[in-house]
Amino acid sequence: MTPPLLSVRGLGVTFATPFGPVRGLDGADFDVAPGEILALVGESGSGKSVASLAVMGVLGPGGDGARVQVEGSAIWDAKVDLLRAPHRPGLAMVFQEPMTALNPVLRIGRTIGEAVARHDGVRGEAVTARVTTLLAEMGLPDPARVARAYPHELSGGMRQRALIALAMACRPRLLIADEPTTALDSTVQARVLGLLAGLRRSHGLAMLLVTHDFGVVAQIADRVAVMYGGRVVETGPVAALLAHPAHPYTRALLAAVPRLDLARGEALPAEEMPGTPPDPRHPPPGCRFHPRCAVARPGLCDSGPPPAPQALGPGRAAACHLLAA
Amino acid sequence: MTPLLQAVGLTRRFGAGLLARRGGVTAVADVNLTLMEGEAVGIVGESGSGKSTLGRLLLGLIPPSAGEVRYRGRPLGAALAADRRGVRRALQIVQQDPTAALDPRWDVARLVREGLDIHGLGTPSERAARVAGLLADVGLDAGFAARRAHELSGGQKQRVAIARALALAPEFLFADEPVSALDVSVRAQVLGLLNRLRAARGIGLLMVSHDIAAVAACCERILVMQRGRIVEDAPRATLLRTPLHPHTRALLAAVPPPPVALLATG
Amino acid sequence: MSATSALRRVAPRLPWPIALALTMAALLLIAALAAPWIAPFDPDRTQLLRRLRPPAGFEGAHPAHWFGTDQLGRDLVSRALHGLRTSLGIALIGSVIGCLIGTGIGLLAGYLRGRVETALMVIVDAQIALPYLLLVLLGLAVFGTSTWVVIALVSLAGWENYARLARGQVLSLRERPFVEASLALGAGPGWVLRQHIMPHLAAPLVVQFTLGLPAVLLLESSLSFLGIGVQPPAATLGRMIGEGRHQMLTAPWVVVVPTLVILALTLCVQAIGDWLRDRADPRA
Repeated sequence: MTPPLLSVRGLGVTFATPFGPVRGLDGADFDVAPGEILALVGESGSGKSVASLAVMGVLGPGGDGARVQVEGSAIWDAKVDLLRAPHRPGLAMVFQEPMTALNPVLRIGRTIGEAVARHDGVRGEAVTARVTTLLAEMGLPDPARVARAYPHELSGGMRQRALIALAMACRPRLLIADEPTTALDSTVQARVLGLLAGLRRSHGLAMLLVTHDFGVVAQIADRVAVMYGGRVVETGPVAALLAHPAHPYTRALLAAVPRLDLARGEALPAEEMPGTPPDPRHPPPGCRFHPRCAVARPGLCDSGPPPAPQALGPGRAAACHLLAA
Repeated sequence: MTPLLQAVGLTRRFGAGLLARRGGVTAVADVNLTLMEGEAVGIVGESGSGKSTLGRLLLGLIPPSAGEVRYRGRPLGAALAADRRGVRRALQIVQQDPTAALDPRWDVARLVREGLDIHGLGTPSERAARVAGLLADVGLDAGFAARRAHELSGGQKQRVAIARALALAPEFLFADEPVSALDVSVRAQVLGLLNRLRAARGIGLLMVSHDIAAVAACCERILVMQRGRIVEDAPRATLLRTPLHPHTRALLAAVPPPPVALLATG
Repeated sequence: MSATSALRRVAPRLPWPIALALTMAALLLIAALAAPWIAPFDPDRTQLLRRLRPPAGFEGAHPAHWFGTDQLGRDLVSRALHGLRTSLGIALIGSVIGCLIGTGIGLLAGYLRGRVETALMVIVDAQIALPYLLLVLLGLAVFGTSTWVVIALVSLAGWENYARLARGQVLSLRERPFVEASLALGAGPGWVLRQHIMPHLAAPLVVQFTLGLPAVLLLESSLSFLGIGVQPPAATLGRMIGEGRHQMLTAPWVVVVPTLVILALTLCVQAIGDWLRDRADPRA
């Protein structure tokens, strides 16, 4: 097995809030292999976005003895000066809302050009040429015209492509994408996912894809890490995990998504999961999911530390007391 | 069943005033539509297709640029002029973002009670009892009455918004993307709640969503909108099995396939 | 100060400069209200034998006059207290009137839109474009100089800010989904304004009021200094400075005493206003 491109161990993030410290991420472990797309799936408060920001170093050193390595070398530790080194080598990020991620008073070409100039150390014509190439690579028709446009002059899908071009200007090996298609219409979403899959093929790009949508996962990811209450509760290859979810939360979440049976012309009844995602200010004791779990066993699941991941087969693991018992 | 709401040549343009560049946008273009009493109808379409605007026109929350809405056969404008309070009580809305839909300064009891307060219905103790009953109907226990919106989760806020809409015993509910701002694990709860409340009370429902699966979970009849026009209008089974319009097919093709195991077992 | 520590017990997260400012402002307000009872002398009583005595502790000070006396031998403690009372009273009443008028106009403009809004905002813009001093001279020429004319003129100086603030708030609040939901429930414009819009307006208005008050205080003082405000012999802080300016070199305390009172008052109110703004809107 090839060594992972990104290796994350024991990543925890605590926020200081007026209500006291809040544990946004409670010790997450995951790996991304070269050229692999790992989907971090979860709901609000699951820690998936916090995890991606922490990997980027945006949140500052996490402490807690966490280890985040790219190709075997630590990309940040307590000594990194974040103001001077905000751009991690080989890492780039795509945000959910391209309208806020792009500076509204700069033309697209200028925004991307700055990144190109900084990363490649080129000027003038070379920058323009590279910007045009990048925009063309993103499947944008008439890239020269897009480069002259302001963000508000583009459609949502075009803006998101421009944002991906901006990320690609740094020639990353790992792209971190936080809900890159959530703000888009479903037909546009499918095309942007197609673009991301194409970039992976052509550039051998690995991706950490943050999403709440199993539809996106099924379309593009190789492996999934399901997050709940600040922890990874289940990991595995997409096909196996979707076909045979091991963790009760994964199972309930998949069953709660409304689905269609087109052949019979029916909506398949979604199974309601009770309760709401845990409040990170007051996480439940024991397994974070036990208050909503249909199979939770009193005395086992509702006390003590949260369960540790159990290996279940090639590349699969789930953190559930019942699997350990 | 009798027609509850009808749209006749309904058109709405935005930004056609002096300041608008390029003459504004036609959000809803010449829509004809009949909604029966107690009928559950869904509208799917992408952003900007005019589906939310159509719902607001049907409720009389915004005036049409051309054409008209009829409520029980009468022009909605005339019906509102003759019996504003009665018509308003009959037509209610549940909005997309439950956080923005609830006044942050109010507690849950006051939020749910707002319609009763506006119309001066019942004594204070009767109103409090009604609020308690409504909270129970939407699955919130009485302890929520004193809380404010920021203390609730997204799903709980949407339940409060539904309780507020039901307080006046409406005939018709317009649900504008009622679950798209909610967590995935909570969406099925809210869709199920809408389904049960509608069935129990015989309320007509117009649910607008970009998610055809969510609409299909609640509505027997589905309309597809594109660029302000209704391009397909069919019973759910027909629309899912034999979609006719290319845009319907594109929307259905973009729905992710269901996970394998769940198709087999479910 | 014991009042400060008492305040800090009530609101433990109050920063100490704000606690100090609140205490000072409260003391000044009490002093202004109680001026007729706590002032040791009649502020207008002239004592020609005790002219231009320096404050206590300086050579030639008179033991009865702690802050000294002015060129007519009037007690500066008493004049400062009465001057504070008049100046603060004019500023507060003027600000309240300006706030009520401005907010009302802003609410109407924001809620009714259309031609009403256009017409009202033209008046607001005209007020901003018109040189204020010209307006003051015109007002005094037509209505004469009385305290109520000065109050009216002071209120004219600030109302357009409230009008703009209220209109802007209404324009954004009326598009909020909870207002739409209220309209769908059958609420009329009165209900929406009273129940949903005005409660949200209170915080920014209070902030605007406290931020605007120092300017109004200084404005009243400037008018009095120029001799076109409240007429003599009534004491106001600005008039005291205006009358004392001829003795600036020989008897600086006549100017320094009212100046320090104005400084303390405006500083405190400004600090409280800034703090309220930060609490009401952490983004600013």
